[in-house]
Amino acid sequence: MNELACVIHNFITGQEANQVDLVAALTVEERAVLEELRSVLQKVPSDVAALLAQAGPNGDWYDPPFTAPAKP
Amino acid sequence: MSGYEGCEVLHRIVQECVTQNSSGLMLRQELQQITRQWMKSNPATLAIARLPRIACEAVGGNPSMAVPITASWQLVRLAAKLFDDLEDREQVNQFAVTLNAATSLIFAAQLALNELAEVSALDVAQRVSVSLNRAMLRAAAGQHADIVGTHRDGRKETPDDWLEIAEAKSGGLLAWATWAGAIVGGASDELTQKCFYTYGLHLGILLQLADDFNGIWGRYGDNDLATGCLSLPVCYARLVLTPDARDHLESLLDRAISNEKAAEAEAVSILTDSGAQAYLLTVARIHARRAAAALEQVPGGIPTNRALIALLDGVMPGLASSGVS
Repeated sequence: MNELACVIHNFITGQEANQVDLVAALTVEERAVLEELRSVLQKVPSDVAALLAQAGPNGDWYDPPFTAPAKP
Repeated sequence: MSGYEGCEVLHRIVQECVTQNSSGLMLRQELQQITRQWMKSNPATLAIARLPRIACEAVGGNPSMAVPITASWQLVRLAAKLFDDLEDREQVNQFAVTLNAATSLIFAAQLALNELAEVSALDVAQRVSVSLNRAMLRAAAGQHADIVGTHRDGRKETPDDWLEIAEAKSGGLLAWATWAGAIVGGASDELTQKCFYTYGLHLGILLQLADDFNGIWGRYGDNDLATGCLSLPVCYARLVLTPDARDHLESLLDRAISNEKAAEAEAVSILTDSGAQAYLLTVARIHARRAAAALEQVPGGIPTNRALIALLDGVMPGLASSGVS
């Protein structure tokens, strides 16, 4: 998913003009999820942090299985 | 059967694994203390703790069949957590004691699994046991790559490298837990077993993604940048930033390890502005989709997979609330 990283970086930083080749290198699955991301960012422009802040009752994602819960 | 049954078995196994050794009183007390703390923060009611049982029930199996695997799973998770803490230098004051306890828990996990032979066919018990050992070896290999990547000068791990490590470290173990639960629940055909394995594999990667997100942007400000551990947002930034911006970030990361809070805050800001959050979100979504798709491939469908889907949604509630899921 290295190509996807480059595409997302260009997308977030507004440098989409010259990344046709990069997008073409993505899998169908990656392209579909990228479209979802664009849709999300249209709802909450440029604020992925705000979207993610909605995650979980404490504002965090799920506590992972091999890490102790964070301490207040 | 109560959801706590696996917890009771776990405590009994921990007791038994050292009482056979007359000089094991201090170790027993240590393990009892560690497992008590662990069960307090990771109760048996937590879905991830009950993963083998949930998978067993999803294929229509009797949940009591999954008790030995669930107990073993708890011990493996705790051992892995302790090893991870040691390797991330989070337990330096008790290094040797924790190392010994974690090693003991690996053997205790094997003892817990031995009880499977009493409730399942011998060949099933052997397959589950062999698979656990392979999954643990794979996790150790992933952890090794993680450690080497963290401490090597001129770190060059890309997001794909990180994902390979996450699959080995976490994906393989969760795949085992899900697969083993399904197989003792009666999933006899290879395709069904593969579907559950694949679900667990992607769930494991998803949880590692969440771990790395929380390690930088979590509410309580975990300290992945301060510890310098191999982190996906950093791998991402190293790949996408210009050479000058990358050099600046590396300088900030070095200072963050030296506990310079201002440098850490600036590094977090650079990661955010570069789109690292969006990247984690997107990659997480891909793995959540793959996990859900695996369940859809189960021949004939599975009647009670809601708990498994809920587990996926629980990792990414932000997406669910945005209407994307």
